[in-house]
Amino acid sequence: MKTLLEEHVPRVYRFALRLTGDCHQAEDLTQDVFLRAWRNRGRLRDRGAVRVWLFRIAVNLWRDDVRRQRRRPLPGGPSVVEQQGTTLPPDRELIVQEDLERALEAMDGLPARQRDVLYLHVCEELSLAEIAGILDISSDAVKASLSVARKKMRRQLRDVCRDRFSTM
Amino acid sequence: MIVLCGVQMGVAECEYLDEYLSTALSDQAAARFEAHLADCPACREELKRQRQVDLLLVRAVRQLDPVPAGLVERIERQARPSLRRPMVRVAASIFAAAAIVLGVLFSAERFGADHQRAPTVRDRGDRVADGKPAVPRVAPAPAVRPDVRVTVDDPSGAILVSKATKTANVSIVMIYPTVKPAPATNGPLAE
Repeated sequence: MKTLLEEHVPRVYRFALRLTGDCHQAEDLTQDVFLRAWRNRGRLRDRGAVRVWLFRIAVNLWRDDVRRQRRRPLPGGPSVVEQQGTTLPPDRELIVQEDLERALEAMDGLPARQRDVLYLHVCEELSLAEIAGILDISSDAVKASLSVARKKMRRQLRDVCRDRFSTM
Repeated sequence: MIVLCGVQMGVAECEYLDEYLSTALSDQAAARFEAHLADCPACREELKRQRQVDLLLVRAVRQLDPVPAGLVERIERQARPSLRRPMVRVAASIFAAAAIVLGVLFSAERFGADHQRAPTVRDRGDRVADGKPAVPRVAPAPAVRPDVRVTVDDPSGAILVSKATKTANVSIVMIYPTVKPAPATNGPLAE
C-alpha cells in the first residue's frame, strides 16, 4: 500500500493544488481522496486506470465541497509555496526560478477548466479521452479548452521562451 | 516576407497545431501536418515554443509544488484503522477455529488422564520383594500440549463464550469479535 501511496499521493496533491488554489486545502482534499478511494477500492476494475480514477474522485470531492460552500476556491492562484532546497538540474541551467514561477502563475491564472485540462494533459500526460472522463465533459470541450489554454500560455510566456530557450 | 500556410479543406493547416501537439490527429492528418511544418516557419516556431512552455510547466510543477512532508504517512495512518478491521475478523475466525481444536484436545487429554489406573500392589511387586518401602508409582500429570498455537494482536477485540456439548470430552468456545465492520459508504463516486 505504501508504494501505491508514494507513487500517487504527489500527483493527486499537485492536482488538488490546481483545484483548490491553497496548499492546506489541497492537503485535506488529498487525504479525503485516498480515504474515499480505499473505502471504495472494490469498485476499481482496471488497476491500470488508478491514476485517472483518483483524479476523478478529487474532482468530485472538490465539486461537492464547493457546492456545500464549505470551501471556496481562493482567488489569485495557489498560495505561495516555499522552495524546499531543490536544485536545478545541470542540463537546464538556463531555466531560472523566475521563469518557473511565471509559468506556474500563468497556468493557475487560466479559467478553471482550461487550467485543469492543460495541467492534466501536459503535466500528467493524460489523453483527451481520459481528461474528458475525469472532468465529466466531452472530448470536444477538452480539445477546445486545451487549444485556448495553449494559445494563452504561448502568448504570456513568449518572452521567456524567446530569451531562455534561444540556445536550445 | 509573409509565409502563406497551406490550406486544407478550407482550414489553414496551422490551425491543427494544438491538435497535433495533443496527438488528437489521425496518423494521416498528423503526417500531413508534419509535411506542412517543413514549409511553414511560423508553425515550426509555434511548435517549438509550445514544447518549451510544456517543459517549463512540468518543471515548475515538480519544483514549486513540493508535497508536504509526512503526507504519505498521514494518509497511511488514517487508512490503517479500516485496514485493521478485516484483519481482526480474520484473526478472530482463526482464533475461533483454533479454540475449538484446543477444546477438543484438552478434553481428550483429561479424559485419558481420568481413566489411568491407580498403582496396585502387583505393580509394586518388585519393590516389596526388595524389602524397600513401596513407592507408589504415580503417573505424572498429563501436560497439555496444544498442537495449534494462535496469537491474536488485539485480544480485547473479542468476547469468548464457552458452550457445553452433549459429548463429555468435547468443548466449544465461541468467539465474538467486538470491532464493528467498516460501514458502507454512500455518495457520489465517479464511474
